[in-house]
Amino acid sequence: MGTKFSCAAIMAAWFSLYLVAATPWTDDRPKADSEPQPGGEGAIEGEARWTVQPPAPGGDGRGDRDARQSRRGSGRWWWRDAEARQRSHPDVLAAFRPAVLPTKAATVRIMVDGQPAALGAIVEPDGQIVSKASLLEGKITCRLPDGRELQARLLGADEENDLALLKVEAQDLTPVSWRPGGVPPVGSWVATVGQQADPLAIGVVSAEPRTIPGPRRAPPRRGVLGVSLGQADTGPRIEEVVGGSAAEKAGLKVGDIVHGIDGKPLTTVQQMIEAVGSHPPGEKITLLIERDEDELRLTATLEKPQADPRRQPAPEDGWGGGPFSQRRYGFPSAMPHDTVLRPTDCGGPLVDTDGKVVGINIARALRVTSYAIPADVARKVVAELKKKAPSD
Amino acid sequence: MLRFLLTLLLLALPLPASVAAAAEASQPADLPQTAAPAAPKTLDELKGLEEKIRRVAERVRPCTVGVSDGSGVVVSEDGYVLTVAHVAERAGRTVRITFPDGRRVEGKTLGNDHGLDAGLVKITTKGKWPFVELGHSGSLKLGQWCLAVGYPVSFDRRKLPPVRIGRLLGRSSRMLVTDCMIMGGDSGGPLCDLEGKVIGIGSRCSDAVTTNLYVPVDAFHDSWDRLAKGEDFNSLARTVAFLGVFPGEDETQASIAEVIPGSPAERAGIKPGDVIVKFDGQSLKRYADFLALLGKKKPEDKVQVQVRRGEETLDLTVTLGPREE
Repeated sequence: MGTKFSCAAIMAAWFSLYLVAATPWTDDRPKADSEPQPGGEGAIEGEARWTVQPPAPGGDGRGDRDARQSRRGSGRWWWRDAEARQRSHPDVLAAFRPAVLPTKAATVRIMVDGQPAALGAIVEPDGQIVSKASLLEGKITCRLPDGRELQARLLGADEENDLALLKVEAQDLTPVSWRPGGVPPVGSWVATVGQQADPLAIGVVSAEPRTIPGPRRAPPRRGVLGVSLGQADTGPRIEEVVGGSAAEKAGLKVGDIVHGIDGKPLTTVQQMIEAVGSHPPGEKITLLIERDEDELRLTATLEKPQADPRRQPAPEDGWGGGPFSQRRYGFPSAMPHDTVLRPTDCGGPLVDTDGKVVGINIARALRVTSYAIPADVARKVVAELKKKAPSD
Repeated sequence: MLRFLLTLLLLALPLPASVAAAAEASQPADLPQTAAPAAPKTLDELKGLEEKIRRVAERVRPCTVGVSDGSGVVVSEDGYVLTVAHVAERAGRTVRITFPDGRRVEGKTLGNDHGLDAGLVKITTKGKWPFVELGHSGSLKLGQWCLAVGYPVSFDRRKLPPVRIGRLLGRSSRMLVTDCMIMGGDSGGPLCDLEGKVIGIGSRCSDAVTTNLYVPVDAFHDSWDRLAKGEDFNSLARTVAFLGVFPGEDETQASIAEVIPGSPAERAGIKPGDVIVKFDGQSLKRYADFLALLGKKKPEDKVQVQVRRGEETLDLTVTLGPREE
């Protein structure tokens, strides 16, 4: 792996490199006294390298503090009026209105525990709605196109395709109109429909549907207590309580020995980690603890895990363009398109320029790609889920 | 004054609010920024555009190839392939070229303009290859639609590559900026106009999905002979002197925190914890002073370096290097 640098500032920038942009230095920049005399005009050899693989930092540079200072002094010459030229300029989005209109009447906004979590597509006039299954953990409500907000129940889910069938108590809803005869050719426009006149985002079909390998399950959501543990003779001992954590709120203190959780006795650190981790965030657990020869019962409401900054990013990550969907791997058939979607705008319909639904958005996957489950696959899955659904 | 291309990190932040102000302060674009054509206003206009996009995609995808870990585009029947210098690396290398129909053939890297990041490769396996015509980047209009093709990381190179749509947001003689998104692996892939001609080659991006930089195809036209001859040029790495150390935290002196293994510094006996007090006969105080002095030297220069190590002061002779490939 070569580490090639063209000037001190470039090296400096790489110390904390996440992503880089090439920007011409402008004459009004602060002139670093450390700037080496370049041997040729404007070489960018080092900088460009990361597009294939992120570079390892080299030497002779300075700290990233200096890189940040340099950034302030550099302009993006091309940025003037650039918004007016972007592919997703409001004028371009507005041109899609007639294509979006019929499907807008069949699109629901799904809230989970009161928060916008996904979009959904009405598939039957009696209130059956398809959406992205892994986004639907919690209390589900749907905002219908007419503005009504109704509670929804889960009729079933297909883990393979990450699709779920929901039901709201309503009649005479407008179902989506599926595109017949497979997905549109590569290069065709696709628009992501929300509950407004303009599409939420647009793009083109990037490639033919394909199998996306990888784990199907989103990483399991483990509840977090917020302590570090050591092994004492009689059980796990609390060595540290994280400020503001579930443990602190429950009143756990350093030195407490844990003897049981939810009535189940435990003696080792491993047992305790497993017992806590078997509960999702938001659940309550009761800890039996020993403190100064007293026995106490404390109840803690587990919290969500923090993103682990030490986690190694996948090679396809780290190019910007996020946030991405948690479940974005492991689809038997997904159509890549280049729409920049919010993860919470997945689960809803994607339409072509004829206003027909070509698929259900299933993941924001990469900087350059989102996936949709093609209409023919989605329809089959919906039919299966209907068959298996409990009858009222 | 040299206009230097600087690598900047955007630290995963959305566009800084200061961008607009910064843009006001600078206007180095050296080509007329011709006004944008009107955006499509009706569904019919969109459909007309769509027809063209589909045709270009169909035409360009089979000619877009994998080159080593990056991408490339075949531009002649006898197998000249445009890519970027950071994929080709240097002249004379044998590289694997993968066609989307699964064919794997051999290529040889020819010349590279390391300054603009342009690289030329020739397929050495005998055959007639599907190719895309070259366009010109000098006459492009801001706001015009374009299509990017390439093999992003995680996309199979033995299948037709994904296309991305966007518009030309900015251009200079050194780069094109579009919102056709590219990422790792796309380096070297073509940017095409709606006539299906190559106007740029994918090179770099920032966190913002609207910042995707391409080598203008004119960089290839202008230097075709040098590239075809196998010349590596505009490489700063070969002309900038390199010692191979990282600075310490203490800003008030030129302290060394780390020495890169195998570097000129290590060979000369410089050790972590040393403080450079003299470089090339000149006393210095801060690390920045050292960098300024280093910047005046060339690779292979022999330089006297005085370092303080604890109570000792040592005089060392360093033969500066270029950065290693």
